[in-house]
Amino acid sequence: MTETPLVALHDVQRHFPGPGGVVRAVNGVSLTIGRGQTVGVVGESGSGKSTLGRIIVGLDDPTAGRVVMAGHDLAAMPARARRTLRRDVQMVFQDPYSSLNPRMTVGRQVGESLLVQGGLTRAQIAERVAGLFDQVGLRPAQMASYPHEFSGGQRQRIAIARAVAPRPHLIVADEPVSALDVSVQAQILNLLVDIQRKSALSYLFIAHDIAVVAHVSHVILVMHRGVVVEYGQTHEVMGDAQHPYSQALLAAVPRFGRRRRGGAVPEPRVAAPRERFEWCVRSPTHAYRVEI
Amino acid sequence: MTGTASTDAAPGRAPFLTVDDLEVRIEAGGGGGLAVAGVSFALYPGEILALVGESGCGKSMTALAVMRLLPSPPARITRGTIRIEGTDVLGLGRRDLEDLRGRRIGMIFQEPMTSLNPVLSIGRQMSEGLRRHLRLGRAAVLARAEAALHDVGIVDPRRVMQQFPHQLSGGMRQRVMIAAALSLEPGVLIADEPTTALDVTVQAQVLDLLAGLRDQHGSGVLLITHDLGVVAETADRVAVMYAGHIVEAAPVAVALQAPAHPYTQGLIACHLEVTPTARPVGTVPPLLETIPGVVPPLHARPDGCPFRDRCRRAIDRCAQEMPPLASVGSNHAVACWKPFHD
Repeated sequence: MTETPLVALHDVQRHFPGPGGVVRAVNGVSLTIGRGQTVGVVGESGSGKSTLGRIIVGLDDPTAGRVVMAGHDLAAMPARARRTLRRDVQMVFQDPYSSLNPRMTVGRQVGESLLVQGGLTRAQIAERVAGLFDQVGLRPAQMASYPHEFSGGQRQRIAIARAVAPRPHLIVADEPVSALDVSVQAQILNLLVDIQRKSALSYLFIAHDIAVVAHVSHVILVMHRGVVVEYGQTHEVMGDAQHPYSQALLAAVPRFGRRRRGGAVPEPRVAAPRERFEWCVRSPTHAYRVEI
Repeated sequence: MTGTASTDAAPGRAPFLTVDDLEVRIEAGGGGGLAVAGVSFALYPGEILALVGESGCGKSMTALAVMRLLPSPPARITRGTIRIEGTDVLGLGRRDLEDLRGRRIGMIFQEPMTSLNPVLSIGRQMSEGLRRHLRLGRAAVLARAEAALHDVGIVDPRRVMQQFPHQLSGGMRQRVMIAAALSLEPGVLIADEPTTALDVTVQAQVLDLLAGLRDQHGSGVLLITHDLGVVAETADRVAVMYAGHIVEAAPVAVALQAPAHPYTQGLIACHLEVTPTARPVGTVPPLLETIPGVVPPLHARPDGCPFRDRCRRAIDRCAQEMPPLASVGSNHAVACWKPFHD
């Protein structure tokens, strides 16, 4: 691939001071996100996947490493230019209730980024917001309502409309369907896919539910304790995982056609990340981390 | 006895728990209604019965009613009986209830802080139940508590026993609560979304523990979950709930492979499995099957079948009359006027 990736991370680290020493939430992650590509991130709590998402969207800064957007190194840019570039990256959170302002009409929240951006009249903004409501499966008449008047699934549709409004190139979606019932979850996944079909934007899709991530992603990263232990095309990682942690994670996912019997509990045994490792390459697009 | 016979696993054995025609009403200013609208089932020794459905279907209200833990007001049992090994639970006084809970019937919740006491150390709260219900000596109690914590994947149980709930992470608190409930080896365990907040590798351990309770101690487990993958791996029988009703009851293989109710069929269609599907860049994933709409809120449950507005098979009769839970095969019952057939 010779085209400039939308986002490239080079050895990104985010360390927090903690009571028992430094917490290495993200400990040297490199990745690229191409245009129109969905990169899925799976991992358990504490793996650093949410911190990674927050760094890419600009809610958090790396303590080391470089974030390059469309060829521009963010750290080397003036604040103003960085803000403009940041508009191209939007975020959808897990809890659509706490991420929406309860005292502002949902129409105004969806249109807010357009207002800040400038250049559009109020009437033009209202028209665009109505179009967005239509696109996410809400009625434009609902623009004047407040968040509490909507169900969880509808609120997530509003949050998605707000993220799509400034026409971003990338949406970071952190657990966007995990608070929703399964029938509503399918509706929202279809909506995200539909948006990608129409506008060719990219997603960084973070979730603990591996089946959900596998459904939407072209490429999957498996994170464990702040590092990527395996990456590859979805079918390679799902069908032929190489790292012991990826294997343990996949084996633990409940599935049809398998019965669980009480007895000895096999515990996933994963060694602590060492400083010395190298990538073992399985194919041009599939590699996993091995300790040396 | 509406419908109980048709959802029984094996008549002839005595059930641990029998719920018959249970009705729970929630009073709310202008917006109350029946959270549980006439639910009947039996739980037998040595089985895991899964109560499946989306939020608002009444599954947690049913579980809380069995434990006599309904928040009252606003919730109130307005009809029905609940029996545990012959004891009429609804007629019990406070003291008898406390004896019943823990030893004969245990419960684990999704949110562990509801059952952990914030001012007692973990060791203290684990030992209290063991001392009270099993009448064990101090050394035996500590050994058993330590073993129970170890069984749920806690690597340093001795240290954890000296800590207080607020010092533990959410996942650790969840494991402690499960350990405390399982250490008493209750005859009946009610597990309300016990693994929803847990990581998938810890979830696998907890599900193995539930299966162990069933297989090694012959306990009956009422497992409340929305996750059909968990149901497939763990449950023996399934009762699917929708808007306060059990709409389908069947052995797990029948429910998942040959569902008769359109709602069950829809839930299965929405369920995603981990499959190695190629997604070349430049392609978008196929659209998933969905169930249109949402569960109707409590105060807006329509007459007739509450699923009919979301149902592609609905006929005129669905608007007039709620279909009864009727047998469509061996241990297989469905409440639908137009069920799927094999």
